[in-house]
Amino acid sequence: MTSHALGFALRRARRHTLSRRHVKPVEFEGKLLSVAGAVGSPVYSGSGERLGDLDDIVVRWDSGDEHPPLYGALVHAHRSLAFVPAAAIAAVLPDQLRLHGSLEPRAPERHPGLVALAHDVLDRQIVDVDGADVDRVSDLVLGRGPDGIRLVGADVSLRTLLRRLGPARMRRMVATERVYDWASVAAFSVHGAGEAGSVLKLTDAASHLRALDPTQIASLLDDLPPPERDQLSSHLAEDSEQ
Amino acid sequence: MLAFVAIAGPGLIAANAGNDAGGVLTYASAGAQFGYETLFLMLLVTVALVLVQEMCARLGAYTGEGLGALIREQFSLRASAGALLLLLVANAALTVSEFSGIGAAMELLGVSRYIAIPVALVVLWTLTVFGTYSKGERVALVLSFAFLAYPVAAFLAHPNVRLVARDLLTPQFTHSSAFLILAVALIGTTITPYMQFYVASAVVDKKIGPKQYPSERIDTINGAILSDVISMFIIIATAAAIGGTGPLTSAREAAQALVPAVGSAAPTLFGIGLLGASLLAAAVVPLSTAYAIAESAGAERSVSSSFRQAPLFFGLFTLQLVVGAAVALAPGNLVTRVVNMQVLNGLITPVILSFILILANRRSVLGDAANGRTFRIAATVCVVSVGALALAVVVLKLVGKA
Repeated sequence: MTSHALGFALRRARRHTLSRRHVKPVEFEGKLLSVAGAVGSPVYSGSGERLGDLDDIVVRWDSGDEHPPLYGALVHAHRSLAFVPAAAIAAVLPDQLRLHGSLEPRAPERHPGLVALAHDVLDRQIVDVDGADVDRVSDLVLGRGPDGIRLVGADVSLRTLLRRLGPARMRRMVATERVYDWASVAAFSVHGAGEAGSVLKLTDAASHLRALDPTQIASLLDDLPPPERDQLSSHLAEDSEQ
Repeated sequence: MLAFVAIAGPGLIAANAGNDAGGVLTYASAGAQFGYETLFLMLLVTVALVLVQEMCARLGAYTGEGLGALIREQFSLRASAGALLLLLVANAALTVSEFSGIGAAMELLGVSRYIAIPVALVVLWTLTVFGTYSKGERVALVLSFAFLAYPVAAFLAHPNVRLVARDLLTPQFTHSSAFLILAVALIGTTITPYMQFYVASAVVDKKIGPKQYPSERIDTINGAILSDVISMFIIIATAAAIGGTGPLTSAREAAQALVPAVGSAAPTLFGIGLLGASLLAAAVVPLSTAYAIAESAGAERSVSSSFRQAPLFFGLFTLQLVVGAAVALAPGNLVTRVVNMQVLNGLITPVILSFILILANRRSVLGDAANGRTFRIAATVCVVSVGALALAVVVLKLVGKA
């Protein structure tokens, strides 16, 4: 192997600096639900007829809420994808999705501000503001509360990642102690919701990044792919000019 | 010959530094067993290598992510876990071959493998974990320059030029399971899964983006071609010295190829070169593998961390070293073991190549830089061919004919 390969291997293995992760665990009164565990589960009509399988959960990213609300779901039925709006959903359970009525064929449409969680966020990189670290999402957690279903947390742990390789019962488990509050996560958009690349919209939480020291910011930027690095750099530069 | 060396010299030096125990001993084995008959196959393998490495470099340049991260983002978790597990197995096999190379080299220099391999394990682990290996890597690299004698030896051996040209330019596929298995070994050591992950990550690390990619592409292609030129010199030099004598059974036999260049110093020089090349790779491969898997998993991955802080990274690194050394220490012929590990790599290669091909075909990943129609067809033919060869070997093994 080349000396360049060794130098590169050592350099990469040293560059990733440790951050003292200050985990802000999710605090939510209501039931928590694993997105990774729910995807693939059966979808039933109001009368109990099986319609298809849950392909993805769609949330509204630009609602201004710290915890994006449920916008709808994508259902895989009859070899195609259909969009189900939140109003048509009776219940989102760990092992099934129940609709009020039947499935109306409605083709999914991409709109800015809408995010398909399994496709756009799961297994992609997010910026952990509290820990000043770039993590990869192992699971996302929905919360079912009085004001509906919302994206409330992210789990970036290796243990959860390994759990997803197990049987369905294990995949549906939520390890509350390892779930970050979604409000402490900065995600930023590259080309718009859902396109190639990593995760999405710049939220106000990104303002916390400016409180970091330059070494932490540099390390964080270094861990990101170029499109995200450039976007975050320009955002930080714009903010510092204001 | 002098003109050739003068023109291609710097590139050959760089390409030579890419040789490891698996490469040198497999190419030497090809020359010893089949003479020049594997040269046409190496030509085809070179074409495949160019296509594959270009795709990997393009993926790195246009996405800014390594293959491990891309596979995780674009495929299901189970498929990703499967791919990374196969990478771990392939690279663990490479580590076995590197430690076997260390054992073979030291035996050539008069030291028992049962002393050399454990000492190498402890030294490599300690130096890498405590971050001082980079000082020793220059020494190891200089040692591996001994293999620069191969192009010289290939010319000085006065091989039958007509035979070389014939076997290089016309298919010479011998209908035997031995040839098929060696073909898979040659593919496994040339288009090794490790190198594909490395190429993509190196492009990302150098922060090469779409604008800089055209010149990087030329470098990638040149590097692939030159490294295979070196490989062919190894085959030619060995074939000229001991061609047709059957499979290689010892490093001393392989060293015979260097006699035209260095005379009686051939065994010593070969041993030194093999030692340097094996030491380099025995550290690089496990380290890079641990990093790639930890990166894909989003886990801590720094040699500056402690075991408790980065258990996955250190665990994988240590596991590969220990398994590599342990298997290398098992009784048996070290050279045969090295070649067998390349066969294992060759069986895993088509799986990894399939992931690479799918990624490079997706416009959602590469946009306009995704594979065009012609490239897609050519790359698919390569992947399918490699897969067919691997499948044939598996079938032969299962029916007991190999």
